[in-house]
Amino acid sequence: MSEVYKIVSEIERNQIIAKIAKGKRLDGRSLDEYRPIKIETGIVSKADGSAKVELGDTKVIVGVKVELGAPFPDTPDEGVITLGAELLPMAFPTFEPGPPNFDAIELARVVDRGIRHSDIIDRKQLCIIPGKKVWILFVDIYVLDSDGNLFDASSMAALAALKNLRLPDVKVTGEDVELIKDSMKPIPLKGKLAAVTIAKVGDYLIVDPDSSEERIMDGRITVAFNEEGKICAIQKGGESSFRYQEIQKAIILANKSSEKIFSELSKVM
Amino acid sequence: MPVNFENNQIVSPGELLAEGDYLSGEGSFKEGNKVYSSILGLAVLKGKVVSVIPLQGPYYPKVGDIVIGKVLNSSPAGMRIDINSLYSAAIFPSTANETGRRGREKFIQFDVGENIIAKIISFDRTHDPILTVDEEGLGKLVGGRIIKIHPTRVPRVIGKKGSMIKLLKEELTDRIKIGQNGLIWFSTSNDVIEDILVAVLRKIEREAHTSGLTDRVKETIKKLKEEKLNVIRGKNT
Repeated sequence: MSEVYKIVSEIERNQIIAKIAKGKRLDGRSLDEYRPIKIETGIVSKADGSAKVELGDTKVIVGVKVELGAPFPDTPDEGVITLGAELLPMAFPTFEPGPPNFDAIELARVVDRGIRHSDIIDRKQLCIIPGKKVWILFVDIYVLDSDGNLFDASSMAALAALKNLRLPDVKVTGEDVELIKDSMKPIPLKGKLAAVTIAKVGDYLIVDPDSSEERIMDGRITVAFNEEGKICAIQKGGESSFRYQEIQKAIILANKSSEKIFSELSKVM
Repeated sequence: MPVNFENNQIVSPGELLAEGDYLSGEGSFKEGNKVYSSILGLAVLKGKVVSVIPLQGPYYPKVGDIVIGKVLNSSPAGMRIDINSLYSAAIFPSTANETGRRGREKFIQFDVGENIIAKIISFDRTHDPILTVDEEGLGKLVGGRIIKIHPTRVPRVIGKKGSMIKLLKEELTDRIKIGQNGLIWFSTSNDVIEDILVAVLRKIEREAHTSGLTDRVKETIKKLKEEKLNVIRGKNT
């Protein structure tokens, strides 16, 4: 059945392109308009931190689980953050069960890079005994319903889940680490992060593509900003290339949309 | 006991609908001499047959239905068409003909990704639906826009004796084709009409279970037209 979704109807393609040329989109948005965002935190009671983001019809849940473990040998005094993404089969007809495919790996990598390079988490604070014991954060992204732009939704959800994360205090005696019960504290986050995806359709750039636009787009570029508007990460995908001016234009567009994400995020952070 | 419901009452699965000399139709089943609903929907009594019209559900192909589909695969031996159903349809060269002038038949090959409007000529559980385009008004769809609604809502878009579709054609555009599988193709002369039509179709889909819909849609069209005209007028002045 998945071939049904891989083949795009000619009428649909022409319609989307014709609308974009007029500065409008099929769902009535303008080219630089973001879909409505809804963020909820703490929705999974057994996870150490969790959040759900709805971006139009796209729904993503992120859960964070923490564990005590050994750090990497090259960064003995830093905690570990591991990101994983799963495209659940129920989310879209072309998503199959099984090990993560290319798209899922890319999704996790893009979100990971945003969080890592924006330095919103001080990984040194996750260290308990240098070289021996640190906090390991497993941030897992689950896509419940896919209507395009998973990058932005997942990165919002990951950030909200990290904000929702509670870590217990620890008592260190020698090399033993004891968790102190009922002493859950949030981890300090430095600022916020917003990833904005811009799709290229013909010569036009559109913000926040939905699934029908994603199927006909030539290329996409995801730009992650921190709260000061500094670029933390860029990822380009799709077959077409971006000219230098197009990248500049995309960054300006993305920066404008990031303000909306920041204002939505500040409601829960 | 006579029937246990009023016509068009919402019933849930397992609900006792009628007892005695009644037959079970679509969406219901009979146990002993009792008829129960098997789905969530609107109960309807027609003669002695009790049936339930589903509120939601996939499209189940029926012979004689006009459907709108998308070509998935195309070869000289035949074409595979997605008809928004759990069965994908096939169209063979023998039925992909177009009877041209003087009754001469012309074979047409559709390309992958093209949309066609076709009629189901054969379907049962042993084989996939087979389509034909050899009839007036059937064939490839060019231009316009296709929107998808719930297949169960299609009868309301047509309306009683075609009242709704007549209204849409009179008020908005006469280039509109409805597939029984929930796909509606239309082509409009301008964007304003298109926006109104989409809004109206969504309204019909949303309020399909209510009565007096045609009159309300008529009012909505009038209101939307006024609004859009005011916006245009406001821009001009």
